[in-house]
Amino acid sequence: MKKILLIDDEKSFTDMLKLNLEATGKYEVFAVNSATLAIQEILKIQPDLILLDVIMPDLEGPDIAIQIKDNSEIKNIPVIFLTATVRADEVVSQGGKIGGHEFIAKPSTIEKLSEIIDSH
Amino acid sequence: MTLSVENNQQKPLTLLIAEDNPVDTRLLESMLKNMAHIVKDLDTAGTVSEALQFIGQKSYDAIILDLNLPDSAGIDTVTQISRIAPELPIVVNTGANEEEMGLKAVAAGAEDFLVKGMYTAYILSKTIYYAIERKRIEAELKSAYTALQEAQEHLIEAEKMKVVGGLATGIAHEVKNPLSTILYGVTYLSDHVKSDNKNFDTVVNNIREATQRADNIIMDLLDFAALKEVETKLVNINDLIDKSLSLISFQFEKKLIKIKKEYTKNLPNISVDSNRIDQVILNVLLNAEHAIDKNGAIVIKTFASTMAEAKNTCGTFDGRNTDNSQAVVIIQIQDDGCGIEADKLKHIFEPFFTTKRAKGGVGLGLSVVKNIMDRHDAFISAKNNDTTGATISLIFKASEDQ
Ligand SMILES: Nc1ncnc2c1ncn2[C@@H]1O[C@H](COP(=O)(O)OP(=O)(O)OP(=O)(O)O)[C@@H](O)[C@H]1O
Ligand SMILES: [Mg+2]
Repeated sequence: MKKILLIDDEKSFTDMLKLNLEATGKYEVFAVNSATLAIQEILKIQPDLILLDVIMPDLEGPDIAIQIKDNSEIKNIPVIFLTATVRADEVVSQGGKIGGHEFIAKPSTIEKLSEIIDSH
Repeated sequence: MTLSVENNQQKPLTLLIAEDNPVDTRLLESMLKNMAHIVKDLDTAGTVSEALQFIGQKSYDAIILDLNLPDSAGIDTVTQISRIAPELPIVVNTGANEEEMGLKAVAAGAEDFLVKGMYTAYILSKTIYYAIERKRIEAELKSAYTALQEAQEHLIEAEKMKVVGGLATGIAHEVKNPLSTILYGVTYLSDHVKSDNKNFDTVVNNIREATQRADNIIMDLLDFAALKEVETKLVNINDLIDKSLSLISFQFEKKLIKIKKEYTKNLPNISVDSNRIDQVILNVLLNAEHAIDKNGAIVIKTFASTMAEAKNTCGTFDGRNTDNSQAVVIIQIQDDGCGIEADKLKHIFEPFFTTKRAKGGVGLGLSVVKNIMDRHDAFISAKNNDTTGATISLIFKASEDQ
């Protein structure tokens, strides 16, 4: 089973996403709601894929992505950004990438999310 | 010496004299009539109301005006004429020892003054021509000022759009997060929860539809802010900066801020949406201006470089994944203002982050700038200078096709 780590400061959001993803029976889902604890949790959980919120109050998503890339132990874990500030069709029109990063618009359907997760 | 005014290729003038003293009138008339090549047509009024009648009937190039007429005295005479004929150049003819009055008349709107008995035909003609020329320049200045004001209004409009754009982004973020939570909650209920309650499906579907509708509204808002599409064209970056500068240079002059341009010539063109990049440059320049109290300097550099060098010299930015050998064109805007506190550096691109709240800062400028740069697959970074102030770098990939 694929281990997915959700990093997003809103617990209600990660709770709901976790319920849905686990209900597919395909993933084991973990969540961390504090950006400052993110790296520590990634090292502990060693997920197969990370879904990362772009904007958080204490540390920005891109900063975390950089820290992941800088850490040889976890640098190969795929990171997908979740963003609320672009439209789904824009992400699609850019081939799902902005500035070289893979993006998913919030909210995306569970089917869509699961399709992208499975492609990694 | 030949009179430069006589060599002047101007058309002969139509003049009006307003003078009640017959001796002065005759003197003026004889002087002016002797300059047939200068004066085409000459009328004489004895009172202000007579002068105004003449003005109502004919278009004059200038009026020679005695301040003390039977129906008016002093400065009032000037204002009466200029109120009715604001475009008419006025040369005041004052009595001897009334120079002070002459100066007051100039302050009240006359172009120049003559002191009776103190001028020759040469001085008279020169004064009239200069008065006409001064009035013309004044009119030009006025229209230039109006044009400037219009340009400023456009700027303010652009500024407002910027606020809307930033607001849309801020709202999208704040509202879409809870919407996502609701949507995933409903999805879970409808897909995985069974209920005997006959209303269950209706309730779930209504929530889902309402959430979708709210999400659509946010999308419309983002659409309206139009921060999504860029229409790119190949442009010369130096020209683009000059265009932005022309819009706000008067603002720098007001604060005694010097602009130093250190452009590299013949830079590779870049492929950008020039309206958007204009907005970027304006915002960065305005921030530099705000950072300077008074009497500072802003240096604008443009140069070609590589991604590797940019990563080394421009401070941190999110272009890590870009190939080091990528050719880039960089604009650097360097100011000698207050600089950016070290712990604030990484927050300045966030929406609503501002240290200028008390002075009306909203904190949207740089977040919109960042957004626009992102959409160009270009980068922005900020760093403090070794001495004082900050430097903002705008890093564009050089376009493949030139
Ligand atoms: N050249 C600069 N020197 C010093 N501080 C700067 C400079 N440029 C930006 N900043 C800092 O970054 C903050 C955010 O800039 P931004 O343009 O986004 O917002 P703002 O200028 O405060 O408000 P506005 O939305 O009205 O432009 C500023 O408040 C300021 O603290
Ligand atoms: Mg600003």
